Amino acid sequence: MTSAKTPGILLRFRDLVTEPGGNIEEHRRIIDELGFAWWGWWARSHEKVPKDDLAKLLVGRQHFPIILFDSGMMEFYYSKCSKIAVAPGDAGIASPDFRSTPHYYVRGSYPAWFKLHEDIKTIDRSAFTVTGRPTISETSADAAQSETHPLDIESLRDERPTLWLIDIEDGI
Amino acid sequence: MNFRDACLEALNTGTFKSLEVYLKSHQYHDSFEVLFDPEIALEVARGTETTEIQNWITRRQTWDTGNFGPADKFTNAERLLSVLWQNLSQSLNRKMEELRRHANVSSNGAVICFPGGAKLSVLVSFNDATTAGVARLRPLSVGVSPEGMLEIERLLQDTTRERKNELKKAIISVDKITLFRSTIIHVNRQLEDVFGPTIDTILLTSILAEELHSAPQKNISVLEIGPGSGLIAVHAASIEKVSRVCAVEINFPSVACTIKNFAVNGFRPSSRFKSISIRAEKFSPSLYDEKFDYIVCNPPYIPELEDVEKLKSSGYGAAISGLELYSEIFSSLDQLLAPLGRALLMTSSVSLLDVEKLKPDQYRITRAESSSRRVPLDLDLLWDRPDWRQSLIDKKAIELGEDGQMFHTLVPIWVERKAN
Repeated sequence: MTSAKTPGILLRFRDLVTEPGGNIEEHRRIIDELGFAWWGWWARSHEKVPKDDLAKLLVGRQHFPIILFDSGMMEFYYSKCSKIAVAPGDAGIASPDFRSTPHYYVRGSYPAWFKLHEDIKTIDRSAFTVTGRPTISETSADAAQSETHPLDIESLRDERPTLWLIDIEDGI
Repeated sequence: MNFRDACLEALNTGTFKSLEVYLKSHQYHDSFEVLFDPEIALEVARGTETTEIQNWITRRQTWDTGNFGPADKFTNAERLLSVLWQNLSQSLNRKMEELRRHANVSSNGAVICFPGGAKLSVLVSFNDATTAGVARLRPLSVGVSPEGMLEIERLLQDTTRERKNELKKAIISVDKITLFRSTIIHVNRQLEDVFGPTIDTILLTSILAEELHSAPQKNISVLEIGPGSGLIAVHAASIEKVSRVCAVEINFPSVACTIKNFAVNGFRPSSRFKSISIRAEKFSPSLYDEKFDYIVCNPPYIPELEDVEKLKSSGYGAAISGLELYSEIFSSLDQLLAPLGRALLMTSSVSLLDVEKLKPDQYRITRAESSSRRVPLDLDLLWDRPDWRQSLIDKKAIELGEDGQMFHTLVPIWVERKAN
């Protein structure tokens, strides 16, 4: 019997402006202080915001699972997202609330922001399955390949997207 | 492609790439001014189904990014307004960050922004400001060709209770913060005995900036007499062609405030490219051994009360006190003004003719009529002097509005040698 799964997203990041582990630590600190923190999506220039897919994630639910993939340390982290802010057009937007955003975001604009409201904890790769790459033009071969051969961490790191659709096991 | 064309391309085609590239590369501080362009205004009115610039800037679809969901649809006009707001709010956020490093600023308050020069003011509230940035910025109110910095009566009219409460909180804040293009000016109303930027200051700053940007020469020098909180001097110093700014101020708190605002805007004594000096003294031309390309001043332009008493016996034409600084400036021009230099002064319809009479013969005055602005005149002594008030009305130096409010006209003037 297969376990129940919930749709969510996987976001890639690297600690380019903090020391290793610094991004996660900073967001954890803010969540601890304020109860939530905004995470900016560091998309690549060729990626499009998958608005329809994102819109579906919060239909009928107050939050959805979000996995943060540190492709430098090769670690996965789990949290819950209760809100998504999306730039109206191609130009990004600044954080909706700088008080609950790490200071290094102040000068940046990002295509989307995700409001994390649960403590960020480590999670194993095996807890989720990639179900789509909506930010890029995915070929049917890519999709078929990932369905039959679940990606290992290195393969995931080598892929082009910074945002994936995933299914994650309930009860994490 | 210029900024206007990039905006039109975005409105007509939904392609914002040129606009993004322009804003990233140009640090454009007058972006909202583009909304006065008739073609752009028409498209924005269509895309927002509202015709007023006030609504375009304050509506939630422009600024409330926290509620822009993935399912929301935006017209090209709404996207353009959002981009213009992002440009202003991010610039303001960076400036606020810098301000908080130099001054104690309340965590909640408001900034009066002029993102379209003197034509447009936007009152922006901020909440939960820290040194890491400002949590929330919101455009509360917009003034087109504003008659004053806050225009409190207009702000509180015809608005929701929620907005009124936000406005009241912003208005009573201890910090008076003004953002004119890239220059931010702070005055602490409780601790600093300084008269913060007024609409006169905004007009002079705007006119001088336009002149400096179009001047053919480089290494321009500017003298400001009576900088107050420093907006004109600081903004002039921010213009690349300007290499020397001198400000002379007799009021010591204003000296300290001007120095603070130079520091807030990134000026350092160690700069190799700009020479800036602030002289804490009464303006006295004999103390200077240099000439200036531009001299700028916002002198008192209303006669003093005791001289209004003189007026009763000697007639209006004899009043010059309160206008003494004009005399001092005119008599200093030979010594302080560079051969092709110009002086920019603010006058009022109340005293313009008398100021013009003080001018030395070898100089001419040009009124910057297109920059003139009708503004309220709150001068108690006029109510106590009905004869004088009536004489001013008869000469059309002041007007009475429908509700009895008095108005005068601010008239900036250029003074230069007739030989130029």
